[in-house]
Amino acid sequence: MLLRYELKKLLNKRLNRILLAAALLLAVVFSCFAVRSFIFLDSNGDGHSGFFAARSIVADKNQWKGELTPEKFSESIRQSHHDWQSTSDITYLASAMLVGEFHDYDDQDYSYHAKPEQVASIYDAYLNNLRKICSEYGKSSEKKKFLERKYGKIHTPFNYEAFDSWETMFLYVTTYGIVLVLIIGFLTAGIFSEEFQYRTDSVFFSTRYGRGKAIHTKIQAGLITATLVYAVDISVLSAICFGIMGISGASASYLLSKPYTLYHVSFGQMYAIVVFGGYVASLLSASVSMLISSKTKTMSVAVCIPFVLFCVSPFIGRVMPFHTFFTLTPDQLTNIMNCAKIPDIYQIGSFVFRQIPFLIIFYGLISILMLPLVYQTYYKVNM
Amino acid sequence: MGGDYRRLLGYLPQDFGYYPDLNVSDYLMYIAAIKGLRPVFARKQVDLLLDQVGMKRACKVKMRKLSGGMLRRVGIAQAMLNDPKILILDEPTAGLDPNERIRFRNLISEVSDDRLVLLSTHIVSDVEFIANKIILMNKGSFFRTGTAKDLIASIQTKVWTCNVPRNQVDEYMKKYLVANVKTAAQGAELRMISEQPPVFDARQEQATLEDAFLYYFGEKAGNS
Repeated sequence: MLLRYELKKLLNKRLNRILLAAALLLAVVFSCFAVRSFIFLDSNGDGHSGFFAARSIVADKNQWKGELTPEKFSESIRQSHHDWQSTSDITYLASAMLVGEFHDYDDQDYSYHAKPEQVASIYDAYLNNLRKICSEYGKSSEKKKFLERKYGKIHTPFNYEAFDSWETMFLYVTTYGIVLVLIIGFLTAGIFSEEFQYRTDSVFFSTRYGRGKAIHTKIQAGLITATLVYAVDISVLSAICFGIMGISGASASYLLSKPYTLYHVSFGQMYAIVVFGGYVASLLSASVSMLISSKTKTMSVAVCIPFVLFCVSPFIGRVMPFHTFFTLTPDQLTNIMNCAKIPDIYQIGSFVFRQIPFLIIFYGLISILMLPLVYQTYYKVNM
Repeated sequence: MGGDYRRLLGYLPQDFGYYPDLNVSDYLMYIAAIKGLRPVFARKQVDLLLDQVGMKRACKVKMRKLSGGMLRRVGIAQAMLNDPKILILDEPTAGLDPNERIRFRNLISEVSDDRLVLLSTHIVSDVEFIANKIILMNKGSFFRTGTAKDLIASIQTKVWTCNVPRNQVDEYMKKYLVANVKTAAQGAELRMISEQPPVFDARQEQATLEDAFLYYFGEKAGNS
C-alpha cells in the first residue's frame, strides 16, 4: 500500500505528468526523425523519403545477403559505380578491411575506395590489420594477449544482411536515452525533497515507519520510476521504429559495420547493450538525484547533477588532458555506440578489461551502493 | 524515538504541510500507510475520521483546493488515524475564523477521550474550553500546573476595573498589567491585574483564565 501511494504522489504531480507526456511525445518525434532519415533511390534515380524508404533500402541491399566471399566483395564493388545504394555497406566494409581502422576524418577518403582487384585476399589483409591493431593498442604483453584472444574469436568469412535500421537506431536510442536520464533525475529528485518542499516532514518523521520502511519505499519508488519510465519509453521508440523500418540484420555480426570492434556481437545484441547502458545511466541518475536531494532537502541541486554528469562532462572530457579517465566517466554510459567503435582497453595489474563491461558493471554497482547512503542520509534528517 | 514509540503518537504541527496533488482520501491513506496501518483497517479509519471531522463529502477534493479550516480538519484526522495514545496539537486553531475555531475546539474535545492530548496554544479561550489540566511553560520550563479553575483561583482577588482620565492611560499601562482598555464617557475603563486596588474606587472583578495568563506571562507596557 505504501509503495502504491508513494508512486501516486509522484504521478499526481502536474509537472511530473507533463514530463512523462513530453517523454512519450519525444519518443514519437524521435521515431519520425529516425524513420524519415532514409532516402530511397528508385531505378530512375529519384529519391523517396517516406515511411517505407528504410524497408525499400533494406530490401535493395539484401540482394547481397549471405556469405561475403572475395568474389562477392569484388562483384559488389564493381557494381557500386552504377548501384551505390545496395552496395555501399559492402564497399565500405571492404575498404575498412583493406585499409585498417579509420582513425580520423582523413581516413574517410579511403572509406569507399576499395578496388575489385584488391579483394581477392581481403580476409588475409583484414587479419593482417587486426595484428597491427594488437601491436598498436597492446602496449603491454597482457593487453596484446587480450586483443589477440578477442580478435582470434572472429569467424570469417562474414555473413551479410542489411542492418540500416539498427545502425540508425543506435544514434536515436542514444540521444533519446540522454533525454530520459535527465527526466528520470528530475522525477526521482522530488521523491525525497518534497517532504521539505511541502513541509510534510514533521508529520512524516513522527510516524511509525517515517524513519524506516517509508524511506525504503521511497527508494523503491525511485528505482521503479527509473525502470518503468526508461523501459516504457525506449520500448515505444523501438517498437515504432523497428515496426516501420523492420529488423533486418538483427542477427548479423556488428563487425559488418565496425570490423575492428572488440565486441563480437550481433546488431540486435549491440542494440540491447546500448539500451542497457542507458538503463544503468538512468539508475545512476536516480541514485545520485535521490542522494543529493535527501542531503540538501531541495530539488534544485539534485536535478543539476545528472545534467553535469551526462551532458557537461563529455565537453569537459574533450578539452581536458586526461583522456583515459574521461573514457570511463558516467557520460560514456550514454555513449556506448561510440565506445564500441574504438578498441579501448585498460589494465590494472595483470587484469585487462574492455570499456563497455567496465562502465556497466562499475556504474551499476555504484548505483546500488549509493542506495544505503540515501537511506542513512534521510534517516538522520532532523535528528 | 523508535518506531514502536512513534506508533503511540499522533501529531498535528502548527505549520501543517500536505501533498497538494493528492486528494483528501489518498492523503489520509498514505499517512495511514506510513503509520503502519493495515489497508482494510486504514480504509475503515479514514472513512470514520472523515465523517467525524465533517470532510466526507470533500474526500475526493485535492488537498490544494481546501480552505484553511478544512486543512486543519484533515490535519486532526491524520493525527487520529492510528488511534494514538498521545495526541500532540501545536497551535491547532491558529489562523482559523471564529466559526472554524469553535468547530475545531469541539472536535478536539470529542477526540480527547481515553488519550493524552498535549495542546500547545497562545489562544487562551481554547485552553479554557478544552483542557482538563494546564501546564504553564516559559523558556522551556514548566512553572505552574493545575486546572483552569486552579489558575483562576490563584489570581481571584487581583483583578480590578476602574475609570481613569484618558491622558493617564499610558501611565497606568506602564505601572500595571492592563488586561483591557475600554473607552468610556469620562475617559477610559481599565481592567488591571494588581495585588492592591490601583485606585481607591477600583472595583474587584471575577478573574478569567486570560487574566491569569496575563498575570503569569504579561509584561507592562514599559517593559517590552
